[in-house]
Amino acid sequence: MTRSIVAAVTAGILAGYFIAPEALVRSCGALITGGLCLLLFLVGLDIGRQGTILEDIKKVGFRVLLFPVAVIVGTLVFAAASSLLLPLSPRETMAVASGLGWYSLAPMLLAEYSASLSAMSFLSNVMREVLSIVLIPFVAKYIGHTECIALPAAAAMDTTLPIVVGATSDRIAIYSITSGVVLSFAVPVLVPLVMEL
Amino acid sequence: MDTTLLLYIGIMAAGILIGSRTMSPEKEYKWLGRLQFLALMVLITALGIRIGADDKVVSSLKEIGLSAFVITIFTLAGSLLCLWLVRKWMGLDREGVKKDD
Repeated sequence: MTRSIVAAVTAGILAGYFIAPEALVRSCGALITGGLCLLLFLVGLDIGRQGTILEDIKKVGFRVLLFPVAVIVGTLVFAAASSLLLPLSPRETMAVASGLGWYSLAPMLLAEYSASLSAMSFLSNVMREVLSIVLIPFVAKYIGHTECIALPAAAAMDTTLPIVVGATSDRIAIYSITSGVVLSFAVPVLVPLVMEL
Repeated sequence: MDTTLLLYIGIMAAGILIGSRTMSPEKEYKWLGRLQFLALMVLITALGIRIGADDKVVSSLKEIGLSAFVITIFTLAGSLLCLWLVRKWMGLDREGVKKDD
């Protein structure tokens, strides 16, 4: 999966840099909107099909919602702090981080504000997923099981779910999915919200 | 919030509604995974084309990558710390089990 993503983005960058007919670049906007609509619909089908999110939350208690809230707070506060080391404003670093690992949605939302922020958001959110995959086994072993769902954020409900469950136990799956779903819903709200700050 | 955003959220909500009404949690839907992968590849390639066609972005790709990496490390550390604090506050042990159950 990671390899396909790297291959696709590299091919795109090369095509855009060397070939880049104006018409192709301009039609990308429509392609992105269309593709995103399709992807969001499919992700929705996948969430709806499992159909147990609300019951799951009721079963483990509403306190489970504190996990995604903690992920958002930690992500935004530390992202703001990272601006001290970078030639960026806290608003910009927070905008990049508010993608919460959803690299196919967040960069598209930022594209209308700035091309560099959009590219940064893509890279950062892909890195979040890749580093999560690497770090989850260590976090599970040395820090704690619930902490594993903090790393991939929105991706905890799908792509990284098998890794979280494999490194922890079945009881963490429900936390991972509910946290991932809540965070996925937060992304399209959080990104523009941060940009409006 | 602008209208595109409402459209995105609306479409996702429609997917959830249709998925919960018409699909079963047990059955495996191979086409769903394949179609998701296809849409993802198209999106990522289109995003790449946009990055590549923008001279300002290409000329600073190294700095952009480095910034992205620093932000990611901070983000991971921050979410980890906050989740750890919440777990302690909720009285869960390292396996996520409540100590007094």
